Amino acid sequence: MLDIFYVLITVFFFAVAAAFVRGCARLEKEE
Amino acid sequence: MTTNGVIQLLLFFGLILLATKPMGAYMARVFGGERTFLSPVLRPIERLFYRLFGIKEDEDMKWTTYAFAMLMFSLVGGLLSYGLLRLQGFLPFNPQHFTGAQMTPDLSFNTAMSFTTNTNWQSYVPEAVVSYFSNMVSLAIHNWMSAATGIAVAIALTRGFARRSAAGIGNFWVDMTRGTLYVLLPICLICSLVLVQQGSPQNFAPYTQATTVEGGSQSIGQGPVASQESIKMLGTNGGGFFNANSSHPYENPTPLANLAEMFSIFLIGAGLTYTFGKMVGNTRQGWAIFAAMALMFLGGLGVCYWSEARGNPNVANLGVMTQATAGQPGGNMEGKETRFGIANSALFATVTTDASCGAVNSMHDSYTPLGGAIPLINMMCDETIFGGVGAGLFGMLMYVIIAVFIAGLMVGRTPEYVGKKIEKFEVRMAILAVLILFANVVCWTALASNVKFPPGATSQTFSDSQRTQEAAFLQANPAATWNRVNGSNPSNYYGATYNNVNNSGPHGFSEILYMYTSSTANNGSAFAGITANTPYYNATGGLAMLVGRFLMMIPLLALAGSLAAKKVVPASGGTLATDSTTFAVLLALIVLIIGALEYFPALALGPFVEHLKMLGGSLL
Repeated sequence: MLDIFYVLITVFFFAVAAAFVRGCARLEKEE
Repeated sequence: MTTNGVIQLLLFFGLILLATKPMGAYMARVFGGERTFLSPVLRPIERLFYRLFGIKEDEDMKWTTYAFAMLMFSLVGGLLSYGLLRLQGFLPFNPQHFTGAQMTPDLSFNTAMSFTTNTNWQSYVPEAVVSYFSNMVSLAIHNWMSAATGIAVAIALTRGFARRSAAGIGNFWVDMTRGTLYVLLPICLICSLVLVQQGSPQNFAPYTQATTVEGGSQSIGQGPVASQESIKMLGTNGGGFFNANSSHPYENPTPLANLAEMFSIFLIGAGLTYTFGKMVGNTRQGWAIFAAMALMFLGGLGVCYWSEARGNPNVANLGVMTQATAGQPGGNMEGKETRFGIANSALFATVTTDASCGAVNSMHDSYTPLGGAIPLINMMCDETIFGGVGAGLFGMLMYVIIAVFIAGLMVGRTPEYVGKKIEKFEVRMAILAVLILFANVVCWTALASNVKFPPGATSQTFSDSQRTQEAAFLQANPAATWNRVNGSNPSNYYGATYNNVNNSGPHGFSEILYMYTSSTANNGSAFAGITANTPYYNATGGLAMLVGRFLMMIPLLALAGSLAAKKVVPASGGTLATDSTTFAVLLALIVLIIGALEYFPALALGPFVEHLKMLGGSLL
């Protein structure tokens, strides 16, 4: 159970990081 | 401070200065795809990798593709390490029969993220819980890959400055392959042989059971130490084979090995400044960055060495002789190896925290308040002082953007750097990266200084005979497990997260601050006075490392993409000279001023107030 929790935390962080990449790219395009 | 000590420090810096140009020129050739003296041997292997993994060598990536490749590679690597640590009991090369039960889920998460992010913070005692297979496959492989990732990002950012009207910033897979094959592998091979010759073991033997002179029994840990040690230093990883890290005689057998280890920590970081200059077509630009880094390094080293050599005046007031003589080093020798003395301990502490390495040959927790503040301040400078492999250069380039922006405001012109106009987007990205790191340190530190899990302000332990009470306690307070020390017997529930530190007052606060600064800066060294092997600290520490690594890299890759697309503006009379001594001094000052604005309140609560209390005759 805890294993799944920590794997999900890891995946969640990288999903946030990927969204951050997209956010920076959108900002770049807007400017 | 002794003449002998100062000469040793200058000798070290002289060696780095000498190695910077050849190392930098070599890396410029490697990442420029040019032929090197190792190409006849390594080029066929490189091509084989590309064929095996379907990599198109000449494919140029946009910054977003580059960033996604880097993130995916790190995610897969991190999860693989997590799985291998949890399953180590079923895997080979495990003569001590360690199991996944010793590497609990939170500890495995912390360790996997720690090595993936080049931090190598270790909440555990390696020789007591990690198998040889875990060391070599799950952990040491990240020493290579995370180091190569850092170099790749630095090279991508350099290309951003060097290219004109380009859509791409290079190919992540090609940069990773070249960094590993041409840079890390050959140097590590040489370093490993030097360490073996100096006395480091390199074997797969079970631990030796020895009988001590008192008749007691001692288990002497060993294994493939030299190979892990060499990449640990060169890749600025820092995670030791043994808990005592580079103060252990197997990891760091002689003063010559000590010099070689410190040299390899700085080698790539210093070399990359020259690589930058070479790639942007003006090596003076690289030397200006080197000079800014050197200024901060020498300043920090001077304060650290002076403070440790001076020692604690309260000890001298007790009538203890603290002056250096031919027979004893004087000063503060607590937590230091007599083999290395004060000069080489202060030098190692400065080098390892400048470079986000995190290996230690002395215990930073035992330093004088000011001596201990230097490693902390070095890490708060965001890995800019030669820095982690790659991280040093891209961290400093982040500050270069801010420095030319501020200088541009001062002279009333559009900021430019190596022919590229620095505009709103670039400044935003650089500031964003700086603020993310700062917020990551202070928010986690503030939380850990205040969070209270059951049983609250006072910790509680349960011995074997109290298991029924423990079960009842846990049923009533399930959240207590968040701050239970993994593997402790009697079971130790710390309750409030500030109970995990060994010291009260400002020194205790410094221990918490140091942990999150070290995690964010991907350094990995510890102030040692904190018991961090609990689910709370393992989970928050792991997250701090991830944020400190990747959420800093992404804005810098965006910066690289934006710069690469720009045209080069010819220098005019109003262009600020960025290859001058004045700019180097300005750059160093900008790093220090921004660091001071961010962290002075936290430093004032920790080492600074401790220093004043020490001068006032108190240490509590």
